[in-house]
Amino acid sequence: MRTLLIWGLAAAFVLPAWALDNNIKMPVNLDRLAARATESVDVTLDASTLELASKFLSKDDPDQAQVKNLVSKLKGVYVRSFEFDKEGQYSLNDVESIRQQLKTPEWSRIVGVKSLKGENSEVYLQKNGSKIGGLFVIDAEPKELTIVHIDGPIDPEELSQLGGHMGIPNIGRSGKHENVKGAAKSGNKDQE
Amino acid sequence: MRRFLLLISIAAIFASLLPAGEFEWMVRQVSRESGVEPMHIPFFGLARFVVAVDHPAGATDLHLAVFENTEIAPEHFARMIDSAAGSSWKPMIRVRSRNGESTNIYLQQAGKQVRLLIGTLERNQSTLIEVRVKPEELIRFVDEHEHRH
Repeated sequence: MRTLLIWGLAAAFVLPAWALDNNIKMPVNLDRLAARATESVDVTLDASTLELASKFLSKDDPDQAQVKNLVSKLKGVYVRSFEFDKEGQYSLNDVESIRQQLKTPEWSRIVGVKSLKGENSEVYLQKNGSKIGGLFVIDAEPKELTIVHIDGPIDPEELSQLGGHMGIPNIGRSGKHENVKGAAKSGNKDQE
Repeated sequence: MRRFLLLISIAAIFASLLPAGEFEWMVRQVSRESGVEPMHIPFFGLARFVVAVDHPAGATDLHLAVFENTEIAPEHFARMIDSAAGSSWKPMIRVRSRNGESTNIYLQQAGKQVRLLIGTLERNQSTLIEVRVKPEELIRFVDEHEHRH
């Protein structure tokens, strides 16, 4: 929970423009899930919050400038996460209304993982010409449901540069979580 | 002497008419809703002084109110803090658990600084915190803190 809060705070100051936009609305029934969940998390960083956060990031500090650049392009960020004490507390129909909204030509599903254990993950990208205009992640596990929406242009390269700052973990190119020393080592290797 | 007493009286009347600080007002709202008075925190004035002088983690001001024995459901608590905060505070993060815990974080711009309002409910103890921070210093603090772990 503490990590989540740090992430949330970091996001508030790091990502300046993430809001629910692009006509995607969280279904009302997600709020009802909160009553059944043992823990629910709702992070809402709308355009104005992100704009506010970006104002405070320095252009002179290289790290903050990177973040400012990334965040200033975003329109909003939403996270809804629910944890349940037993299985069957929610059905996939609960998120079907969102999935329906993603069935438009501009959104394409790039990842769909289904397991026999009932762990299903989907990643959708919003195409904006040759660029990414938004990202939507639905992660449904038997006792956990997480929905993430990043609205706005995303450059994966820029996103990876945020690792190691403001509580955001370092993600190496292999995709593995790295600590700072590990990141420094991999950086040296790249240079070699 | 009479003039002095008169001036004191007038000052006292005007002081009572002046609006209380926003945080104090929120504390009163929570107190009224929950029926519990905030507890006294010894030496908290000293803590505020240190924050104002030393700016730990970019914080420049700090307010804290702790309410003990608040028998409130997390949903009610969130609504109560929403109501006390009003529309000038932007709700940013809400965490709610069935075991009676609730965390609600709000944000507000204050010139070149940011004000964070944090309302938490845990085991019948609710806490209201308002902190004014310099965002760039907070970011630096979080970075350094992460690098140490």
